[in-house]
Amino acid sequence: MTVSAVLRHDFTVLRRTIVGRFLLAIALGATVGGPLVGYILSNGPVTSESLGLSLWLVVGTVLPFGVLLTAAVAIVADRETGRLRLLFGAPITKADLFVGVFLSRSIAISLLIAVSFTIIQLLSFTSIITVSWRTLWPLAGSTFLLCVAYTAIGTAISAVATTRLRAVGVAIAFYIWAAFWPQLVSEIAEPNGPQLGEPTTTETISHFIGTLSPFGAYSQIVTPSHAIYGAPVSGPLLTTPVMVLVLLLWTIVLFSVGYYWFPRADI
Amino acid sequence: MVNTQHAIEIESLSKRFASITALDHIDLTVRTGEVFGLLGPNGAGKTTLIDLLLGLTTPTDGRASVFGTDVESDPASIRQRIGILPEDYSIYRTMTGREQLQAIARLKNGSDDLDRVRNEVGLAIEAFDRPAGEYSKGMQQRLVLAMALLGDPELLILDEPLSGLDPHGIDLVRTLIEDHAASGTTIFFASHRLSEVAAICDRVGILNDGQLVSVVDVETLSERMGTVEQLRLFTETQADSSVLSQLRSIDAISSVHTDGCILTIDCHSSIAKADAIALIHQECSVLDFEVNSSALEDVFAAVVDVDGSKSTAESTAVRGDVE
Repeated sequence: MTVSAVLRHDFTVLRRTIVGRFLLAIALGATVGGPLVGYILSNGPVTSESLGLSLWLVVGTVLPFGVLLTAAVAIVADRETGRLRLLFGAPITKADLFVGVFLSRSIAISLLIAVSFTIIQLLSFTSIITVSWRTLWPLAGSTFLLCVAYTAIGTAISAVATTRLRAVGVAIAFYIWAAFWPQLVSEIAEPNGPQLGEPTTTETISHFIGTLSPFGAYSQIVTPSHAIYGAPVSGPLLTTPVMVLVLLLWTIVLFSVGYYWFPRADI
Repeated sequence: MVNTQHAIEIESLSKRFASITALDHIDLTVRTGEVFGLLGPNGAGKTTLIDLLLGLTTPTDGRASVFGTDVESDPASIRQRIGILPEDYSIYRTMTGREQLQAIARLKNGSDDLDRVRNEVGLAIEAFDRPAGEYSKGMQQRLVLAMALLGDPELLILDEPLSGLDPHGIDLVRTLIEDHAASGTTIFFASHRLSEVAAICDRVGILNDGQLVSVVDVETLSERMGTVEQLRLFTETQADSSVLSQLRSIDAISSVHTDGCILTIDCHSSIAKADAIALIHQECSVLDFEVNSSALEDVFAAVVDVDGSKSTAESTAVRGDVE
């Protein structure tokens, strides 16, 4: 009951403040705007492959950044400004607050993703996009999982950080790490091996380790693998279920960290 | 042992942040229905104590209970029975006062009549439906006070509730506190202004440097330390040294200062004030005068000096009053 009350409260705040509008803008802008820009530039319909590339390059980079930053300041901003003291005048616990904020942000971004992909689906009835719903909605599901993972990461950072500045700093550092992790692993693990953009066909352990960041896992799901590795690479560790598991693990582990930490933290 | 007569029971409560001791073994009891004032300079530990009572901070040592419930074990059930007006807060600038009050009412599972609460804190209806970003500090204070009053709390914790309010607002809040106290609500009132606390509270606890220096009735504290009123006289001509000497010879006058044609005199009795005015008027012709009732401020300064060190004598004298 109290979690749902916090969820409603945070959802109202999202809806009525600039944070919600920011998320709306980047969700629609990246998800729908990316393929449209691709269509205009290529002068041809958006295919499954180009939609995957658009999701990877635009949605996969822009949306997690917005989700992570907004979630990373969600709790710590209220703590710093004294709003948490007002909220804790109500019969809620710190755990309620953490879970409520996480759920509210996750639901908000899920709704935005659903709306965005519905628009893409509608565009597929025109000559702009030629992607079947069987291809489109699994991509939407992957994008949802990615955003929920980044929401968990951001909310956990917000629960642990003592100032907004630190929260934003850690969030940006994490984002950069996650984005460059596949390439970093490739450079470190196999300095003499095939580099990004060079042809390779066999799965190696570094390919798998490279997908252990949320962005790496998402990239592996939504793009044809040669977009990342230069040539099709497949194997049991790079399958979509494994990547889904990676994203779920990020969500579960970071959610657990915040859930454990925040009730023990001084406000 | 749980005592239902006590709204707040604090036993040997300490809070340390790294090497800083914010609160040092505080023992305090606030009776149900009492208006209790917690006085202390900025940084004395008042807000930390309130945070501990709300369960927002974990004590390093000791325990606190509210209405017999241990704060650490069940903070949510305590928050069900209290209303809080924090000193430092921020409201959502793009949301209207009504939306914000509604949001807190939902969190409190309450079915309050928002307009009744709005009316109670004197927030105009036009302002209520405007974005709170347009509110003055006083209006924000009223809105947050309205949030505190939602759900008819049994205990109101007010941290510097009069700050930012105009004289009308101060009167309104005082009346509101008196009304709620009369209906049985316990009030825990933290302030660094003794005059505010004296006007509202039954008992006062003085907190300084993390230590509870004393807990006494307002009247007792005032009597114990003596009453000082500051008299300022505006004269036609400057008082000469013989007049000043005559003033200083009056027993109930503790100090005399001159600044041109302005005389500032600290008087310990009404007769001393009358004598001083008569004497000065005879010699220098008094044009105007004013009396600052700073008695309790002086009492506060006497108990807690500006350096933040404890008045040992007073501490020893009044510690027996702590329940």
